[in-house]
Amino acid sequence: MATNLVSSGLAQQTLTFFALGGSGIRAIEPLLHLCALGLGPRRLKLVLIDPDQGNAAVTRSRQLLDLYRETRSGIAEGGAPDGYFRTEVIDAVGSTLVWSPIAVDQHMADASFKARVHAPLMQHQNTAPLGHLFNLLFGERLRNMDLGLGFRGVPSVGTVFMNRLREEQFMQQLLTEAGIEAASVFFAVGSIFGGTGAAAFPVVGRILTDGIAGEGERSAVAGIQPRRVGGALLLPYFTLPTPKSAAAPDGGPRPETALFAQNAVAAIPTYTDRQAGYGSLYVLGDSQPREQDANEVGGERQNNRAHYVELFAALAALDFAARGGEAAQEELPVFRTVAVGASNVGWSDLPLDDTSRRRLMGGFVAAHTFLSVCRPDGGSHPNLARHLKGVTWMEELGLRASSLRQHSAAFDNLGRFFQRLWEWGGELRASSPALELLRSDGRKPTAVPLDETIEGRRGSKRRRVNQDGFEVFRHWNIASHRRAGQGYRGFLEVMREGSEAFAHERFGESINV
Amino acid sequence: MPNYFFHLWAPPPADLALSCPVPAPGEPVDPGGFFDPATVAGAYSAAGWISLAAALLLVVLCYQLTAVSTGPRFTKRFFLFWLVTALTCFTIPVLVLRTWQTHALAGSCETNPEPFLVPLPWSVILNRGFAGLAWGLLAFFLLSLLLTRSAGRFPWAGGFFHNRGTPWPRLVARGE
Repeated sequence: MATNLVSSGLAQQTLTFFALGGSGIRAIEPLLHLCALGLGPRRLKLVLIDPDQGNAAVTRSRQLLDLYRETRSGIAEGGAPDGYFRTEVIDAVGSTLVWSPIAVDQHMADASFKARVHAPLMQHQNTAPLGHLFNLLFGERLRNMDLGLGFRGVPSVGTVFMNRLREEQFMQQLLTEAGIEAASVFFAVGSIFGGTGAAAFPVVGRILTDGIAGEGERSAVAGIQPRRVGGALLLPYFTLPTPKSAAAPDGGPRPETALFAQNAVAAIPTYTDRQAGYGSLYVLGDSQPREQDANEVGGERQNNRAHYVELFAALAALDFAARGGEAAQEELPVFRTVAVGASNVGWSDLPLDDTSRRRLMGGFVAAHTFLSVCRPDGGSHPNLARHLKGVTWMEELGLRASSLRQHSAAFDNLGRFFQRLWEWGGELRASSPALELLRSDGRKPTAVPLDETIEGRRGSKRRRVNQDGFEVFRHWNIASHRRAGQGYRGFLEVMREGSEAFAHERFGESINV
Repeated sequence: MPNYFFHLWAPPPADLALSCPVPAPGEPVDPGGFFDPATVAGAYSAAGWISLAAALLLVVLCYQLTAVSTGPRFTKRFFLFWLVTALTCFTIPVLVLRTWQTHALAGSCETNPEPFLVPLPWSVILNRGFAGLAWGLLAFFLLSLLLTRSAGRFPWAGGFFHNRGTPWPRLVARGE
């Protein structure tokens, strides 16, 4: 499977991405990085679903999304971006960004599960059988657990609330828009071994394909064809260390590694038996799951490092969007697989074609060059105009020192975004198993020679290059010759084209695999 | 005019005097003869053309030696090559004029009317050498400017294209 993410089809596509639970939301970070490097669709509508709104993954995604928008907005001053940051990201849920299935109960003083389902009302004579059933299905620890920290690896609790999604205005809006944008596609990512993802995954699929029934003043909205709905099922790809205490601080359950495989096995028939509505399913996992640094139930402290499986989930979404969903004649659901050749993941393992791999690698080179020259390590440059005075690509573009000063804020944002990209790549590199794309190793960009930036390069006869970025500028110069006089508007394209040309010249062995 | 273009203030002298050979005992002292202007002009011309070729070669080397584009490293290299060109254009005329087989003008010396070999005097050679030093500085700068503004318009020109901002902006930038 080799996807072309620089195709004109994807560049015109609208993708609605459902990030379900912590793992699904963690896939947003790589997805935004790919969009920033010009590998995303024209429009990306985001729906984040998690009851644990204070989760570190949510915070991290929200911050990166804000930074993406600011950066794109600064770039758009010179005209709509066509390469880097071409994707317009839309919050489908609204300003809150994250939809919580328990948000409507937030006013309640008691956040326990039993309070949220109004268990006391089940004690009356005529509702007692329901109360007995509730007590039978959910033990005392589950009944008393605080839902503010998520569903803690118990999908049966999440399922109770997840159908509230049908009543949300934004879901109706999305389905209505899907009828207008007949080529748009929908994709969900979530783990099926945890709580929220496993609970939400089938519900989202069914709502999208069944539509929403009319009720009261609400009119019915038709569902969409299953071939336009895809999903990435994340199998257990991490484990949790043994906690200091078996119970969570509130006395409720903790997610247990021992149950991950069991949960996944229990969930899989839902998808193989075509009960979930998806037309395409990408099944992702790792045979050697990484142990997370800490066993936290939820909240800000559940700040796990990035994992390559999350990148593959984002790539799956883009692959689905690039193909415009499944072909009409396919028998659904289609299960898609990709294999990794070694214990660590390298350039040759990415399910991308040469052009897309070159774009991605060029993006890393561009980020490194920008962070070495224009915004050292993401910080400001005290005298960039002087440093770049006389540089040929600037002369060709017609960029003056005054232009650099005028767009200083846009450069700051771009520097901060690239710095996040760099740190994300470093996290993946330091992980086990590692994603060996970018050799940052926790070092700052200015401390990594350009020659060493890209991982997995086979022996090259070319000599070493220098750190000051001016050798990359040689390729930027040629790109700028084709965009003479375009000023700031042409800058990003010059950076993209030139950096790709440099990557192809220097690291071609890793592109053409 | 071409003489001033090549040699600045030290063009080949037309009637350069020389000391004639010592007369035989009892014969009158020869007041002095002259260098053959043709051999002197030949020596100067050779020095000028070799200097021009060297300056051109050094400019090409400076721009095409490595793949870097205009930047601090190139700027250093640019000034280094500028200095080397000046020194080369000092050395070349000194070596050429000193080793060139210049002759006395036939019949200009009574003590030896033959066009005997005689080297140019050091004062003349050094004067031409210093003119070469200044000429080298000027030539490197002008050749850089000319080539970056002409060949530098096209990417196939390699370093001349990638460093077409040189020498002006970096010089100005250093003075900011």
